[in-house]
Amino acid sequence: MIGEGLVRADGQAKVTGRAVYVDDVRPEGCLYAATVRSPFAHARITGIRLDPDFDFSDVTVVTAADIPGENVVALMTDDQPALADKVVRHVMEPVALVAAPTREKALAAVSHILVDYEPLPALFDPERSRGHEPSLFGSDNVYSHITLVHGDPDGAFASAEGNADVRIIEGTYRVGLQEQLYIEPQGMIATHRVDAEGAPGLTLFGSMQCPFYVVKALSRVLGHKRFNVVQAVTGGGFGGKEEYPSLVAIHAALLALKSGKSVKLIYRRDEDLRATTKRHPCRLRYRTVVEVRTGRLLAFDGHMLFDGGAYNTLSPVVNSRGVIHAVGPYRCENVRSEALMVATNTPPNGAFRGFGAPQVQFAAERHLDRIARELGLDPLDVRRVNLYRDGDLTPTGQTLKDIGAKIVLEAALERAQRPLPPGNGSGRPGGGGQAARLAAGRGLALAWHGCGFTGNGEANLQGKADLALEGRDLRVYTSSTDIGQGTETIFPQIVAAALGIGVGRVSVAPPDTDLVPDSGPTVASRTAMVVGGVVLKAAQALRAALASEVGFDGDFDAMLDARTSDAVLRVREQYADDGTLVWDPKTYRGDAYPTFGWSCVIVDLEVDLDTGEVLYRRLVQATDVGRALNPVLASGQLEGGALQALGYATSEEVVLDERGCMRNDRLTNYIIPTALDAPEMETVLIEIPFAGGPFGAKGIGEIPHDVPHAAVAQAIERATGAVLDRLPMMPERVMAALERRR
Amino acid sequence: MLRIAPTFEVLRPETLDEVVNLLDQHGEAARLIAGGTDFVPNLKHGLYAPEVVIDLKGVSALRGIEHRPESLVFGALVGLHEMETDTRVHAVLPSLSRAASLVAGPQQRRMGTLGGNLCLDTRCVYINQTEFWRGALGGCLKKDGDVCHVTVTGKKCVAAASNDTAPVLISLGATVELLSPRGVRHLPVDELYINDGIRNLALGHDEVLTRVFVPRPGPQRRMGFEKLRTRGAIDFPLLNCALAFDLDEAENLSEPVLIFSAVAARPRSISQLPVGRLDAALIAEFGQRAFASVRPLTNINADVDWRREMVPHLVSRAFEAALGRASATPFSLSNAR
Ligand SMILES: Cc1cc2nc3c(=O)[nH]c(=O)nc-3n(C[C@H](O)[C@H](O)[C@H](O)COP(=O)(O)OP(=O)(O)OC[C@H]3O[C@@H](n4cnc5c(N)ncnc54)[C@H](O)[C@@H]3O)c2cc1C
Ligand code: SF4
Repeated sequence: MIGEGLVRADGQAKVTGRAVYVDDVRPEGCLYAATVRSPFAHARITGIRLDPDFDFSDVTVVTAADIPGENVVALMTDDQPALADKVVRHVMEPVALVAAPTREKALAAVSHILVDYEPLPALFDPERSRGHEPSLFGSDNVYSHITLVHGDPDGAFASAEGNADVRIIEGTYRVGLQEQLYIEPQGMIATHRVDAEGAPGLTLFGSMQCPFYVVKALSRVLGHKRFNVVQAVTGGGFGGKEEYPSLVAIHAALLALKSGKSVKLIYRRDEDLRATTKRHPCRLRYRTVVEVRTGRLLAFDGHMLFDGGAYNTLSPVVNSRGVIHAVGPYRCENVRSEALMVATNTPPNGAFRGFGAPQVQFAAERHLDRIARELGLDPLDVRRVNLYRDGDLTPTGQTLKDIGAKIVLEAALERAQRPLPPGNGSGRPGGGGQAARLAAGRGLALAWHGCGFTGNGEANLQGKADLALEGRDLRVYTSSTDIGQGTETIFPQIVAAALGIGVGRVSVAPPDTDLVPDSGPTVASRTAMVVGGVVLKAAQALRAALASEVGFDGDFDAMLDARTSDAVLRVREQYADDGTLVWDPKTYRGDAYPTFGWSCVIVDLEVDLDTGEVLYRRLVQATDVGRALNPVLASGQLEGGALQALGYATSEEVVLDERGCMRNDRLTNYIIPTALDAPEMETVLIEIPFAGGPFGAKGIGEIPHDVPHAAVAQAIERATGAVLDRLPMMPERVMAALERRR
Repeated sequence: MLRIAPTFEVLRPETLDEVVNLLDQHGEAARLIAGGTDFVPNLKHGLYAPEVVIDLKGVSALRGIEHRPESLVFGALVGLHEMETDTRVHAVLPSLSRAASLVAGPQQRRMGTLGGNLCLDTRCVYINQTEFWRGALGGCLKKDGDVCHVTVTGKKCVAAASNDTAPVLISLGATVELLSPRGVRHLPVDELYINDGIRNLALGHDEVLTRVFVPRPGPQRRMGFEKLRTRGAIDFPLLNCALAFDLDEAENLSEPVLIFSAVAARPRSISQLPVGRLDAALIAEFGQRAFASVRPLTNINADVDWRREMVPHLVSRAFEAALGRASATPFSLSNAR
């Protein structure tokens, strides 16, 4: 059961079109909603008027004045309003909402809501944010500033001066915005309901990762909790549906309350691309002291500057993960890692697969390549000499054990010895032919990724899961959502394995906040590892409860046969760590994560020397997954994540206009790789069990997105000598780098 | 999500007579649809507001490829997928088959037709957008406005002809057959296009393209097609070029034709091409001629300087293809990687 590649539970409905997404539902009498958005990056709102020449008789209009509770999207801080009031801080910021009997009418109404703006100076350059005007957040425009110090970096840099055996090597690296690009845009339906006590309330049904985030945010806006939140089948999230759906739900709910009708709010693709969160861009300056002979890291001083956009969202968490992962999976005894997350007048950046780790590990890997280049060493040797070993301390002072760093490296190298698939350039963007002047190259990069929440996060959250015996079948109740990654398949596998029954007898209740406990959000590679562990505990508790009911512990069906009652037997478990993890969030010292995942990626590619295009041939990855609960799904996660990282590497570029608004807001010009663009994928699952995860499983959702882009940069360099330290590596940038090389 | 407002009627004729009658009856209020892979997205973007849509799919007279002694005759409904996989077409007209294989992605090639490809609307970053997006800029010459955001000062729309088969068919000297209530007429493919991005077709609103005649090339004719695009798997051309020439036993090149497209409102024929002994210098001269006259604009979303620099490379690759040095198999799912 565990370790079997069972077909995904949601697969058939999805491929046959029977799965019900939010836009497939049309409640009786439903109104269609649209959002009035700011055309300015920063402006004062001096008035909102209705065009007297437009027929608003069947249109519901909502502004900040209609909010019954607080005007806030509650998340980490309360800086983001549900609807802009008096001032807008980014282009596309919601200012008012409309709902009408048809989409067309709603869209027409949007342009007849006349908002008067007085433009204010806007801030776009993160380098000029901290402590500068205009003031956007707090006293100094800083969302988060974390400095982590380990060992004695100052001493190490000071003693490096004049020492011929060591050298100080520094470099600057940049990564751009990236869009999550879930297939299904944001969407929510609000309907009216009467609860069991006869009190009126609402149901929010939509595309989301975290139903209880919506509960938290919406209850502040409404001033009560007389509503439930239900996840619809969700067409992908990648972090983009972690915090943003709270805003969509608030908007749908406000319109439903004012109109008295059901309201459906679905973003169009272009609107979704322009308005919603992206991966944080980052500028990284790394300085290191290295041993000249070997490239060994003696000291590290890294400064990261992240652009958080106009509101805080989850930016401090990204900053935190960035600080901790900054050096990559490499040992260094003297570390200063400092990250600054600042405000600008661009749409807020937010959660995205990897949460800061893909940005900083790009820099870490490029920096090791720089060290190899400057010292005339082989990049692989530089990695080998620095790679973590058991017993090493991380920059937070955590002692590493059972680490897979070397194992994944060797496994990937071995798999990469297989002959390459044919690569005469037939897959090149232009269509191919041997005529192309191609240079082949291979790049390698290594990643580590802390699984689950940082530090005390899980212990504070106490994620819960229920398991119920209903007749002879079992039902799992959690708020963990299946967003394509396979939760609905994995949880039954865990329960069935624990109870020794067929997986077909275990179902998963739809994430409806009326029915399920708060298991915590579906983020941070935590669902299988953390919530799955709680589900396993629930299965064991259910067995114990049944055993005490029937008076013996044995075969599950025999116990069921011995049952005299047919009452539902429901148990609840919650996360508790074993108390051995110690973390101080103030000093950033201690055990940052319960465990780490390890991965090595090898990319084989060709660079078209005439066009600068990068043609992928093969991507090998070896990843420590703890235990592959379902190897097919695990490989799917890893391969999908790696492909997303290849897009980050060479094609996904968010182009902003002078207002900070995304210009290429279409699938024809925001270029993600399609299935046909994917290289041959070779995925090796390494299993080093983690005692704290169900059957040894670790989180794997994010690690595949951490470093493939770095491997691509190294491969381009090895193929051509062109050095690229900035993402994305579009053909014209590769061409420019090829020219610089001459 | 973009939807089609159901404000029109769909008519499904089965014969060409019925098509002509419908065109006569509805005039400019009607629009034709074949595979719909260009028409439907444009409709969703609010670029067209037809009252009547005439679906050609049921007209069997528009199907099929005829192999005549002097020419190959393609019905307007011949699918791009059919053209890319038909081995006989590939043997006689390799550049055409290759161009078809490089249009869009597999799904579009299954639906898309040759007629639809030839009648493809011009493209521009400022026009292939939602109504809302265009509205924010106040529209442009092509639709709802009076400026061009590409040339800024110009009074002419320069949206790019982006059909991949058009330059090849021009390079092969093909003609099209057009049918209207006034009767049948024939036009070289080259004359099917006019230099106006608003509508680049010399095709009346009541005319339907019925067949494409491609003369069988002589034994000395060589041909090649090359395309620059963002992803090998799906995208519209950032540039494309079709090349044809005669090559005798002594390696002397004559009768050259070189067509570039995805640059301006109509495909551009490169003039003053050299003839003579085929060697690297001659190929370089072709590249220079092309470089001199192909000036990409910002109507397509990719770096303009980079696109221009790619011109000579496309030419030399088209030569390699024509000389059979490039992979001869059509580009398809199985060998896409
Ligand atoms: C993602 C994507 C990528 C694409 N990439 C490319 C590409 O790389 N290269 C490329 O060339 N095209 C591309 N296309 C456009 C399109 O798929 C092709 O051009 C296709 O060949 C159009 O054929 P169709 O039958 O679908 O045309 P339709 O959409 O049915 O029609 C296109 C136009 O031609 C008219 N028309 C159709 N048939 C006739 C006829 N017999 N007589 C008169 N008028 C007619 C229609 O009225 C309409 O205006 C792409 C489209 C998409 C969606
Ligand atoms: S070329 Fe100019 S007029 Fe034509 S579609 Fe583009 S912006 Fe509009």
